[in-house]
Amino acid sequence: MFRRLSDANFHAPWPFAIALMALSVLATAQTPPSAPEPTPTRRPRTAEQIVAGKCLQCHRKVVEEFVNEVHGKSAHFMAGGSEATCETCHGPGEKHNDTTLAKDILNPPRMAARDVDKMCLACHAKEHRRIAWTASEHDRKGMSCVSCHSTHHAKSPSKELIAFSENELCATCHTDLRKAYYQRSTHLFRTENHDEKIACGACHNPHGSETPKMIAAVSTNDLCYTCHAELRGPYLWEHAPVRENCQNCHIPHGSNNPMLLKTRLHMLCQQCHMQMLNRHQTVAGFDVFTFNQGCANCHNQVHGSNHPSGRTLTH
Amino acid sequence: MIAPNWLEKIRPGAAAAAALLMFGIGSRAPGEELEAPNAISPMTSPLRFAFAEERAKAGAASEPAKPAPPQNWHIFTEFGVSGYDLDGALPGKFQEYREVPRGFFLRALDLSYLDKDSPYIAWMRARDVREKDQRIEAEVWRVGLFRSELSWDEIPRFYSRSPTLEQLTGPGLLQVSPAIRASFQGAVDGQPPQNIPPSFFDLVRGELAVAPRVDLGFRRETGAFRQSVSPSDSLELHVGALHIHKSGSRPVGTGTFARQAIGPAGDGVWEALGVELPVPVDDRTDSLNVGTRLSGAKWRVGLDYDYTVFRNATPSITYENPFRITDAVATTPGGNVGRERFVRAQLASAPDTDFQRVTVRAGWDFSGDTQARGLFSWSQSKQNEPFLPFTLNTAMTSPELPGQSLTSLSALPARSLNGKIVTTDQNYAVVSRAIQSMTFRLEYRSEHLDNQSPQFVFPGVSRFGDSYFLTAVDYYNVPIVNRSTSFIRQDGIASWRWDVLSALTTTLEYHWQAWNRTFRDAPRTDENIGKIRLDFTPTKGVTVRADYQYGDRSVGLYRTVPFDYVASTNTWVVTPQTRFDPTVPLEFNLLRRYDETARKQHDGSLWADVRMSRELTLSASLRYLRNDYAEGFYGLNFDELRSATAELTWTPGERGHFYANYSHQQNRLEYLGIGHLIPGAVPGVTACCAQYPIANTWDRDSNSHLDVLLLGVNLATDGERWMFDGSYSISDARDVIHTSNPFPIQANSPLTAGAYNYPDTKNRYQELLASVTYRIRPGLQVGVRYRYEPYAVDDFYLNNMSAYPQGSLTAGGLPVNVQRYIFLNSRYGNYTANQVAAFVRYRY
Repeated sequence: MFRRLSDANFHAPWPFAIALMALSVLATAQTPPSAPEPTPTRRPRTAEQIVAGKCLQCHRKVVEEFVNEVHGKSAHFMAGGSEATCETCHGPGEKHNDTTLAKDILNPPRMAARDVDKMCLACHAKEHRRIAWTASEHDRKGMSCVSCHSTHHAKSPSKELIAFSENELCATCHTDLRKAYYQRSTHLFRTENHDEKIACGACHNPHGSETPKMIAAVSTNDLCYTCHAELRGPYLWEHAPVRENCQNCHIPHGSNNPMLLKTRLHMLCQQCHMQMLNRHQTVAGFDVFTFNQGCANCHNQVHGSNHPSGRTLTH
Repeated sequence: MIAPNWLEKIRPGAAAAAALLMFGIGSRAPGEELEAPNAISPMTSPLRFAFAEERAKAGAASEPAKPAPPQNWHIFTEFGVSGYDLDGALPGKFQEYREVPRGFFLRALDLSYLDKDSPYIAWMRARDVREKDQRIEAEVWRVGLFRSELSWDEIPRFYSRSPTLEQLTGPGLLQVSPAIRASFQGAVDGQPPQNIPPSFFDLVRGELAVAPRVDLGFRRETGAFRQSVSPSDSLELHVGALHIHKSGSRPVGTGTFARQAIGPAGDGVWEALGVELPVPVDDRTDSLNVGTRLSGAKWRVGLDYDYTVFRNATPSITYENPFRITDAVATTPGGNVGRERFVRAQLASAPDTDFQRVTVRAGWDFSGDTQARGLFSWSQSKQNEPFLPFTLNTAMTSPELPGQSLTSLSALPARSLNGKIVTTDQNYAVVSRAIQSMTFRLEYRSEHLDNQSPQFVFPGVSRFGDSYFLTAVDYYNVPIVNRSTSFIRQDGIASWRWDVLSALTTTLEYHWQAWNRTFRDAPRTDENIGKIRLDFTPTKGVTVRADYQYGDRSVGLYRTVPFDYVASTNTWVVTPQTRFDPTVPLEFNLLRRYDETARKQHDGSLWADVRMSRELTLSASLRYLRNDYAEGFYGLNFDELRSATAELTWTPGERGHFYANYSHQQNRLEYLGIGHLIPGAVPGVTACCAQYPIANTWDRDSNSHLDVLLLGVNLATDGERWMFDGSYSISDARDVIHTSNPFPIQANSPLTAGAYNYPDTKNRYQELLASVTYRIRPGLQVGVRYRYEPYAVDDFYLNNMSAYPQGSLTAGGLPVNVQRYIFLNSRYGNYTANQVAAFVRYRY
């Protein structure tokens, strides 16, 4: 299966290993036959040697981490083109071995985004969360896999992110979303120690999706129903804008209003039901229900009602 | 950026364990205090990574080999004691979605298995163990073969601790003592609000003072499992399960309004009636996902099946009216007087649903760097929850149903909905980079929601506090029918990206979106959107992005119900000649609903990132979004968003890191009142409208501001024996609502048509965090952290609320009548919290 940038770039440690073994055999063969010699003890190859070969000489620390990382383990324990060795990502190392110059080896963070993507997707394209990467929002902005991930310098090992957490990584560019943590109502719940309870990846697929805003579902509402299945319906008395898009009324990240509403509850309802205003007004024009839960003091089934008398989303 | 919290430094996964393996206790040379660079140490602050990078660069070529002892199992834990002081009458927001511990806490417990000679990786991570917001995650995988993921997460939701007369005496049954109900009814049966004796208020307050208190809140428990297996390079099989359980209670308002005794001016005396209930919550969502991925060198196909069931243990809530011991109905005409006089009523909770979805995804790579991909998804949601009766009010009858009890299920047109919604989602895209430096994309997307639920003609509905049975006669003889609204949304997108120069990229995009809707005012809308974007890197370390989008949404036909305008009274009336369209919601004709009316949209943003030096980075962004709706129409006129954000990070050396982030956001919107629709209306000249059915309304506008400032610092001594982390955050929001009535007010509506400016709504949250950590030896740290958190809210919805705010709610200096409404007073007030915690971190 095709796994490399190009066949010409393919290099496995096996030729080197075979050559080394051959040299070992030759070296052994030079021993004078006259005297019985003790059988040389062959030291088993370490994981680092298996995985990195010559790279180990100069990059020991990196390699010693790499063998415990998933790509390094693939280099150690997988075969048949699935393994990710040093040269899988950094290209052929022969020239760099000779010159030790940085320019003679590929460095993914310095490569063109498209080339990095090709390299990573050679193995990872089959995963459905990557299927829509090409020409996705992030791809169109010139980002590549190493914009967010790092094999050797990850700060968040579970997804090899270059930041301590998903949300922290996303906020690096989407700085305007930081305020959502501190708004009156928020969906970005955190513990008192700022552990994220809802990560960006719970709702978005940063690798691209078939849905606007890279929503990780076939539609916005379908995503919301994952956790809020009680709103899926159908209901006897439907509320059409609710069924069409939860964002007709709610802001998903954070809001200055309770319940992630776009504006004060009575003003939100009155954007479509303004003719009802006066029927609920009391003296001095102050709406009877602009207190406590506002319109929901009575219209408590705003997402839909299954009660025969719930025509106006009461009951 | 926000200083990563000390626990955000804690990542016990593979890389951390790898670091421990390399540089674990016992393997370090004597005198070497520092942990190895490149290690994802769980105890470090972010500045370490600047330091680590420096060391890595310096030592990469010359680091001597060090044999590491085998250490496959690693543990990390943080535990300690914590306490906090909380001031404030209603400090519930302090633990709205979290638990802040008092006493011993186990903040973190991480276990990981890493063996360089093993293809297996395993780790477990637990946070806030045994707290209401605890989280546990675990993974086991065999590289290239399988991966197992398990998680358990809890999120609390706390409202308040509130007195209530409604006691949960059985599943879904809230009851009030018969003695209380009898005493309340005996004091106020049938009286209009102005005649209710003050002794009644004392009676209610007295009962609430001794009423039991209930903890309003619920918890959400989520368990998830996913197993993937890759028998070969080209095949992946996976199965996943998700379980969500919500249990507890939440406040739900029930009630109605009434106009008692229309006064000489015609405005009348208004009253709100009802009771806020502590509704029990107990529901479960169980989802199963099964799927497979098959791929070749140039293609990939995926198939997924999802099945979800939602089960509600309390499908209905039956509750008693605290103010009634006997059933009665409102008096005619129209049920204006004597509402909310039932003994028992019911709420229908979310019905049980069964949901299935099948999704197919496929992609194919053609030559010339071209890819085609598609998604097709079909789903079905069904529910068949038995209906509740129209009402439980035994006194209610209807001439439309002679001899039939409205409390009986036989009065209903059907016993259940047998509802079904079928949704089909499709997405097809072709993307190509066949031409060097250009990317083309064509995409089509559609979502078809087909509500196939049957429609029923109802003889009427119980309204006004289950005290009056409204029939079609009350609705201009328009039948009362449930509407199974459906829609088709389609999108067509074409975009072209051109890397003009190495430093300049431009993108042009055209987007068409169309909606087809049933049972809504606008059966069809079309929107054309054009977008341009520029990415510019004028010099190394500087990136600038600018984009602008213009959208024009048009409505083919906006159907209205044309009431007749009567010039002599300046109002709209229904006459026998008025013809209603039964497929259009029976709402006032000329109000344009913003989500389906014509609209012009402007959306632009600017973003810049400047790396001033290796230590200093500045980024800033601006955004402007404005929607102008059908101009001159009654309803939402426009809404506007302006936001600006700036962020600065400074890492002056190996042991210091500072950041600052400031955001400002402004939201504005404006509505036009109905007076503008009067033919020939002139502000200040043309009076508008009778009270009913079409009443005078105000022009309104809202101007909301939000400012958020975040500051953070991380400092460490030489060798990082001492570390200090600090952050300060403040969020300040203010909403200013202004109303006006530009048209004269008629003699019969001075009170209801006179505009009133709502008080400003303010919300301010601050958080100060500081921690000091001392490393006793590698792998062992002790520390102290402090939190100061003041919160202040000023909201006219809530300021004067109590369980029985009779006499406390005012508007424009005049009392709002809520003599017969009991609340839970479930709200958040100001608070100030001080928390101190001492902790130990240990790693092996």
